[in-house]
Amino acid sequence: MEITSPNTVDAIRIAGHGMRAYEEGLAVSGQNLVNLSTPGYKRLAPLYINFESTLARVAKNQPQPMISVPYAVSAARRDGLAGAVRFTGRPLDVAVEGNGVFEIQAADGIAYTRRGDFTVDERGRLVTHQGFPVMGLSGEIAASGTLPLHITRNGEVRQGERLLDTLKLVNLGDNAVLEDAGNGLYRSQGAATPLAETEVQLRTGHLEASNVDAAQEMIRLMGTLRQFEALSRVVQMSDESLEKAIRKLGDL
Amino acid sequence: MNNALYVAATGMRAQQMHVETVANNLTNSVTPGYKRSRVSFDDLMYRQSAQNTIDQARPTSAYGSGVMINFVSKSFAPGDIRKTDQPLDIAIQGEGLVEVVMPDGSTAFTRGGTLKVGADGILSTSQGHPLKGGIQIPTGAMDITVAADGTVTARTEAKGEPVELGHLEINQFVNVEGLEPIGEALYRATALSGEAQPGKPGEDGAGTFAQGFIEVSNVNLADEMVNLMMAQRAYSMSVKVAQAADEIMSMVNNLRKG
Repeated sequence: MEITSPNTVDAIRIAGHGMRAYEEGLAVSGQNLVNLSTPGYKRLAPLYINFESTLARVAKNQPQPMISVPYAVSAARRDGLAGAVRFTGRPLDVAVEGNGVFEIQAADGIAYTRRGDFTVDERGRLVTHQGFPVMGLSGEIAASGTLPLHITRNGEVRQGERLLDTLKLVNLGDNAVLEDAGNGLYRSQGAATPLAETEVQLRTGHLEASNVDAAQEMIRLMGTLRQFEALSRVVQMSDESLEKAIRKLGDL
Repeated sequence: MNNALYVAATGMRAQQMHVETVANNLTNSVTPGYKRSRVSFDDLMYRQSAQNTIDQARPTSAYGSGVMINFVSKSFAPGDIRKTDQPLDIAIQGEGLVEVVMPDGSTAFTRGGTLKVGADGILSTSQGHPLKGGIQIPTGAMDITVAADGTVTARTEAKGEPVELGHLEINQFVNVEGLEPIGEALYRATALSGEAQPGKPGEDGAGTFAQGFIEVSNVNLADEMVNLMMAQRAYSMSVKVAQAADEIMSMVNNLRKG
């Protein structure tokens, strides 16, 4: 996009960038709203990046004057706020109270999750709802025999009276950069410090719900829609004034 | 293309399936031995946004593609045991199931129910599937008793001594939720549930038999009604997202008049 003196065509292009950004924002709100019932879901928060700052970074040595415009592109980051803890009554459902995430052996390495609806796979291992093994302090947790598994408040996984292992919960730190691996799993490049035994507080028979606030999300949806509408009016009006200019100039 | 519309569609599909599951639970709220179904929601795979060609320094971000129900499983939480005083009503108190033989010779499992003595005298379920062990009840036998440990006895004469006719075993599974329901309160073992481990009732965590009792459905009406309301609201929210996406597309279409 060339930066020349501001004109009407630029107005259309700029509004177009904003409209694309809001369209993505709508998809993000939609994603959040349909995942109201997904346990452990962390809402996506759209970030509308100021176009001026992006441009200033890219075109540092341009002699032409910069145009100041509201937004250009959007990105979405995860809001790690804890969701409500809801009762399910299922023995292998666990919710973490306070800090800490479960460590999971995913297909391509270690991942972390807050979603605790665990089950047992055909090899008797404690696994996530997708079948990835849940890590204990001594690695994978495997049951033998048919006594049902149960998990205690401080993370001990027992089969009857026998202690199999203790769940490994880690603290990723407040400033950890998390990479989304989908289905409630996250990867972290930073350090993962295991929680001390006394710090582990779980609630069995409960699950952490989605942290999406339906009312807030609907309001954001409505706001996004109206802002999109406003920009589409900018495009329409620019188009009309261009049409008038061409006609009038053509009449000469 | 407008992804919000497709995301909304996944939401509607998932909540519709949720409502169907809840409806099935509600219609079976008084079916003896019924185990309620539960759904598991999951967010759908993520796609990266197109590479930002203006500013290479900014990382691409990932957007979601909606929601899905990745499985519907049974909750084997025990239902309440209700006294019926019918001698052939057998409930299992605690964990485990009883093995039955299907007409094609394969194995299925049940949590008990109303038993009957088949035409051939074999102790069977009310649908006529014989219990494993082929316990033969002699004609004219009275006071058929199933003890807590599975011993089946009966009296052949009015004042005679009870005669031991056989034993019923309790089968346990590594992952009882992995059992496949085949209707009529019967279940089949799968790779996920693991193989059946037969055992003596009352030992190693196996449940015991309670004669004269029926296990009622483990459907909790209050929970299911709440689920139904939540599913309806979530469905209408997905519809709102679809409507918003539709409005956006309509505005785009009307950018140029004529």
